[in-house]
Amino acid sequence: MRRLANILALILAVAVLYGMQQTKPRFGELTAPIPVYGKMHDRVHTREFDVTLDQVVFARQLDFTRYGEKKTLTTSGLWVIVTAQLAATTSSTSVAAATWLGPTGLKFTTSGRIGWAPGMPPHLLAPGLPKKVRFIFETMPDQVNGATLVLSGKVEPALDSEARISIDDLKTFNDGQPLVIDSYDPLRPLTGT
Amino acid sequence: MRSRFLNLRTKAIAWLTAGIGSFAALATAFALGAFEAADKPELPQITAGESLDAGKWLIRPLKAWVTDQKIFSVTPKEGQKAVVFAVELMNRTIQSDSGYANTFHLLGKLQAIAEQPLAYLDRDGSSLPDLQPGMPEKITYVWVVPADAVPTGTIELGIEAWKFKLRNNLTGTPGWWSKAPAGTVSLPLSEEG
Repeated sequence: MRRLANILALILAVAVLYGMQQTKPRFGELTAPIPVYGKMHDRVHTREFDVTLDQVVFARQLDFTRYGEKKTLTTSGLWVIVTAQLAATTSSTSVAAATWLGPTGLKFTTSGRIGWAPGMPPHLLAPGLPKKVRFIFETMPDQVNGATLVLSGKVEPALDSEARISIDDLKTFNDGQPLVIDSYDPLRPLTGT
Repeated sequence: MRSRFLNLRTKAIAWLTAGIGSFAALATAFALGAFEAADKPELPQITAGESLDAGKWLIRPLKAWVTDQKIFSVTPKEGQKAVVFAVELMNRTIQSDSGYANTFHLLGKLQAIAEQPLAYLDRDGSSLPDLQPGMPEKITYVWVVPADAVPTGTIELGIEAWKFKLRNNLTGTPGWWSKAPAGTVSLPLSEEG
């Protein structure tokens, strides 16, 4: 009887240990960023900055003039232009990483094809001086509905907060497709502070 | 008691002989070159219009040519020529990625003398931009090489690919590791595009 109890205890211990081993959080999960969820037009507070997502515009191409040269950037998908207000909370900081997270989990980082322009990341922020900024992404039409904008100070914000703003205020047609304008000028001045 | 020890001893000797013997056999086979005769895994070879999954990228070569004219931002100097390779790449990962600069390398006698290629996006000539997941783009690679080293007829390129690993050993996060040859591209090499 005693022997049987011992064997059962051993089997139980093995099962518990195996379960613990299998469900053990990995390093990447333990040091993952801490998400702060929000909606469009709401002020989302992260540790280092506050963000308010104002507007999302979709365009087929980007047209602008730089150094007297006309440039047109085309895409096989869509350009997404996100305008937002950023403000540092207590000390000077920067917002370097922005990701357009599609509904299926595809991650689109800000496009580097435009080059440097005023109002483009990385955004340097100082407390008391809120800024109006732009983030421009290139994405596919099926990655629009149900997307999330992910913003953080660093590219891999281990154990730091990260804003996750659901894109819930879009102008869409009856079939769910977003309104896409033909052309957008990414160097157009941003109004407001 | 003594007989048991003897028994153990003979057993040990038998085991050791078998172990050392097999190592000796392997060493002899290796020295005689038996392993070189074994079939090596054959790498796929593709040509214009054929597709190949190579780690992060789905590759479809389009064409290759030689020129001494300016191509994107590269102008070959006197005595130099540009070997140009046009390819369609699709990002198979879940996030924007620009790690395709070293995916292709020249084979043959050019391998030793050619430097790193420059890679341009066909749409607007931007240099090595991020490719967005699931969105195929035409990319042009340019190698500047001495004019007398340019091969005639066909050109061979090696493809290097990273392998996907669900958990890396250090942090347990998914990623792309272990670069290895994934195949070759063989294309007719024309004069001028």
